[in-house]
Amino acid sequence: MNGGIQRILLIEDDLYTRDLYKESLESGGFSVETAVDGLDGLDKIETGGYGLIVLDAMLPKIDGLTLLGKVKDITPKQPNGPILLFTNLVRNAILPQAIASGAADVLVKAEVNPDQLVEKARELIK
Amino acid sequence: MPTLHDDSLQRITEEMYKQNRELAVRNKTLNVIQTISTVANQSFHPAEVGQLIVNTLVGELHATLSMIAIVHPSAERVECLAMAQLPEIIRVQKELHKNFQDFRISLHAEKNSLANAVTSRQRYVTDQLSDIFEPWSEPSETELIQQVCNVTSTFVLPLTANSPAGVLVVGFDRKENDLSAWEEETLEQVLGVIDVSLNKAFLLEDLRQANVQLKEMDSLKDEFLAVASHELRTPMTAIKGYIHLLLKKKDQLSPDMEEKLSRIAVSSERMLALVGEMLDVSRIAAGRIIVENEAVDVSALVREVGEELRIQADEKGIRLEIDSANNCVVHGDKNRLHEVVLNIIDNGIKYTPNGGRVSVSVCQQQEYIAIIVADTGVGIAEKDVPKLFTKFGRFSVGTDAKVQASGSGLGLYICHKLVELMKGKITVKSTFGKGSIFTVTLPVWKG
Repeated sequence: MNGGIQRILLIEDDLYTRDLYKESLESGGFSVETAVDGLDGLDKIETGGYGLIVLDAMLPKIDGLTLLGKVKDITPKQPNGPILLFTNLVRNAILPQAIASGAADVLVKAEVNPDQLVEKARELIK
Repeated sequence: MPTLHDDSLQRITEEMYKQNRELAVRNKTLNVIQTISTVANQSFHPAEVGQLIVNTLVGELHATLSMIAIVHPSAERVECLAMAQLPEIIRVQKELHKNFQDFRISLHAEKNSLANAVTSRQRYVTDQLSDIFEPWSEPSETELIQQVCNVTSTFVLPLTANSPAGVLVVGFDRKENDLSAWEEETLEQVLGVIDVSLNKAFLLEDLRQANVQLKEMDSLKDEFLAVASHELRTPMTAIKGYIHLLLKKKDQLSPDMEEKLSRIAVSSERMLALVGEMLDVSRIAAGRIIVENEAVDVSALVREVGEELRIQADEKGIRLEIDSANNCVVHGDKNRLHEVVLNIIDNGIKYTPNGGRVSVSVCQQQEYIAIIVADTGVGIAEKDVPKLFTKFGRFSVGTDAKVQASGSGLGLYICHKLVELMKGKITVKSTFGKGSIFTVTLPVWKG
């Protein structure tokens, strides 16, 4: 970990959405790294050292749920914190599979504002 | 008194005998037709109907072969719909490694009686099966069929009224002249019954196929709606998020900019809600809505929703009264029930003119808990009540300028479906111009 400042990995393919939540999480006091697709995300997860991973579901190359399955099989160089699935899919429809695949929680983007994501990040990093 | 001569008696006797015989023939024919008609009604699938008919026909007519062939939709060939499953037929199929179900003949096969019967709509009688099965079968194969099945004469009778057109083939172990009168009569009369039965079956088949296609199209529409809704949510979420960030920097915004940004925020929320509703509708249609079965404290939930809508009610000067008894716990899905109660109270506020009243109460009614939302709003005309819980079931609320309603017309449809999924009911009583009472009942929590 990075001298008290928690590192968050934000895996999101949509540029504007990525920038929006990066800015919000940084304003909330986190250090944010981003990945633009599932493969890029998996590489960064393998390197590890993130207090939280915010993962979109609909991603190019490897989708979020598949990525969750792969994460279970790898040993990162540095340990990672929980994974928050952050999606615009319907929560009830994706929740059981996401939790079974190792996600700590599911948050629907359309239902929260950026501050609520920051709150959730704080809650999960605790 | 006149006396009857012997020759007169003889004539009368002969006439009576003839009439009796004709009656017997008619009777036997009618029996067969009735039997065929009865068995044909046992199925609505063309191939099954055909099979039932030919199987019955060989039994009733002591025939040695019976087949129904129909014209393929390409109108290029005629092919077997059903062949009577006689032991001899099964044996021939095994020996020839051929299945009569695969039988097909080009309608352009000039020497083929079957093709000719279809195109000319005339009946043919032949003593050679080669006239029927060749060139589908080789001459040696046809000979084997004829021998094993013991076919001496074969009738090829066009099914005139059918769509698709077709023929009935019936083979006998005797010559045409040796058929009895009732057998001849039956062969003529039975065609009408077969025509009607097959027509009905083919029509139903068409309907079935049309229905399957419609369902596929409906499912494609739902899939499209789900994908489109998801894709729409992505940019809308970004808009909503950036506005949220901008509105946080109030000290850098002029009052006019702040007001305009707030309006963009409200509009983007409305659009997201609309997309969410469309997504819900597509999921309801696809049967993919999942509701939890958990203990929901309705009293607390109603109070919570009341607080959420308080500002909205205050803005219109509407008195929002919440009378919620404690310990009213139901089986339901907390989030979904929240959505339902919010929608109904929100509608109450929306459709009540300024200065009116919306009162919400919760009470137990035997095995159920009722959430009752009564307003002093515009009410619903009796003719419009049935439309209320349908998709896009919006209707005119009159010319009351004090009421400005907006929305997709999907809210109550979704509420109705959600409450149903939670094994509850939603009902409405309304007096046009005076107000409405919506009641949601849900089963009491029993653990």
